[in-house]
Amino acid sequence: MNLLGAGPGPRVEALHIRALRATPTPLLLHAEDGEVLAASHAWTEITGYPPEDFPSMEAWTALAYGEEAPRVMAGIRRLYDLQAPVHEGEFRIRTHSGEVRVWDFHSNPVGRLPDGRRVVVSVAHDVTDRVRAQREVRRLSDTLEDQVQERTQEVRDAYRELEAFSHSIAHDLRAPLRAVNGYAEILLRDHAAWLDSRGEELVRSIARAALDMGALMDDLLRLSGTVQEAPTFGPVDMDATAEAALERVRTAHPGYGGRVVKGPLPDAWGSAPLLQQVLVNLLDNAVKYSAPVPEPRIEITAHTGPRGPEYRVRDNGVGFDAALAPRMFDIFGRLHGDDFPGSGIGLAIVERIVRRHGGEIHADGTPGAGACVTFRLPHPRSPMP
Amino acid sequence: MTGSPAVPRPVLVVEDNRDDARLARHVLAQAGMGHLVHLVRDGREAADYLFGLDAGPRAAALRLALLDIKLPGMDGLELLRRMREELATRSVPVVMFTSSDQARDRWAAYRLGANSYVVKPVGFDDLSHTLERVVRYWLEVNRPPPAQGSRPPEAG
Repeated sequence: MNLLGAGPGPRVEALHIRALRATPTPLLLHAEDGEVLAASHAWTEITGYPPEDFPSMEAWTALAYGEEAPRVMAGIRRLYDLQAPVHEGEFRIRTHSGEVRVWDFHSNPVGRLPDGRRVVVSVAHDVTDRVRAQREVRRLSDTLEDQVQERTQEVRDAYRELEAFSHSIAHDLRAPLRAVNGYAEILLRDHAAWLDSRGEELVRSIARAALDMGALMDDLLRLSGTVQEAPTFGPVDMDATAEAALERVRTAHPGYGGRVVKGPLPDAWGSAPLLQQVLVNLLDNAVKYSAPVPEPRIEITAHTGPRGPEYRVRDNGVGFDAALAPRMFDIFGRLHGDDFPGSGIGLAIVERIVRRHGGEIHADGTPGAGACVTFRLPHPRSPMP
Repeated sequence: MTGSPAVPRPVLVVEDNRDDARLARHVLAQAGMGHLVHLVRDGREAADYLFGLDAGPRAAALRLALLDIKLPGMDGLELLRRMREELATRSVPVVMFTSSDQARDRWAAYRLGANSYVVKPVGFDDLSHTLERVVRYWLEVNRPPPAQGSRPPEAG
């Protein structure tokens, strides 16, 4: 009794049937006794079932839902009592090729046939792609946290390995340095009679070079430590930090005769020990390069700019060529050669620490007219209540 | 002296690096303590010296041990563990004398009962100063616990 096979029948206009079949979405017209009156091409194309395979809703649900068919059928039977359109929701249907697709159904009562049977039109939106995308998003967001943790752990492990590696290198290199310095010193103390003054000077150089390399290795380890350790950030009293830094630098250079002037410094947000290291290294340079000039002077000042507090260490020392400023913060980027002691790592450490704080640093200088290093840190945050 | 059975030396230095050993010997000799030092190259040799079949009273005579940590075979920490297990060396002061300043090593050393942990300086001045002071402290300043078997003082 399928209308579709029978051509224009007495009960439904052929034109209506053709229009219905041409609808570009899956659409099904069915009557309350389960007879399928018409299916759109989209319906048969997507499912792959030809119309003759599902003359009834029982046949359709058996094809599309398998074991679930009785449950779906129960829902369909309730549709015929509808007085108004209903959104039935998403159903997973199995196509002829075995693929599972997700259809979102709306059904609508459209009246009665001349024989009195009630008719419902069911329209489906194929939302398979959307559902898949949603599922993928959910899966990704569920696993994202795991992935981040996994990667973080990997990075942490790599750091730890690197740290162990640097320590073991440092350990292995210190022993020969100790030997070089030790033998040179013993030579100077116990066998000086066999050395002329030139020879003694050379042996002294050997001893000093070994010590320098030891200090260099310590600095390198400190640099890698600066990069690796996870500092605790919080409000930092920069006045107190600068005083502590000055104290350390004064102890290291007891003979320095310069004046040090410190203005009031606004608080910062960061790690106090790391920021103290920044000031120690900057002040150490300022002392080193101003010591040879008459009336050496160092100023530590600060002001609060629009992007956060800016701290400045200025000296009136030998200065440097401003064109070389960018090189100053490179590891081993020394501008002064051997006239001044140093490993060339101090400013690299400073730069890394400032960058870790989310700040910026730059240096100005003129040969013979002093140097000035300015670093900006982000605005202090208010501590958590 | 030759022919006399192994004279106990009260300071045991365990050091595998030939140069470090030589420097240590030189420093202690300069300080007038060279005759007190017995030098071995690794933990196994140290254990044989202290606890071997022909060790005799050596372990009991020991007053100080300086142990490097990284040693071939039995390392310094392993030797320390062994020394703390043996009754004769349980209360002998042990100073870890090492290039390593790693927290992990320091932790392990103190947990195993080291009395002191000293990082070897690179400079000879520092090295000789440090070494001499450490040895003098433990031999001349420190008062060890009474010998095994003597009674603790009565309470009251």
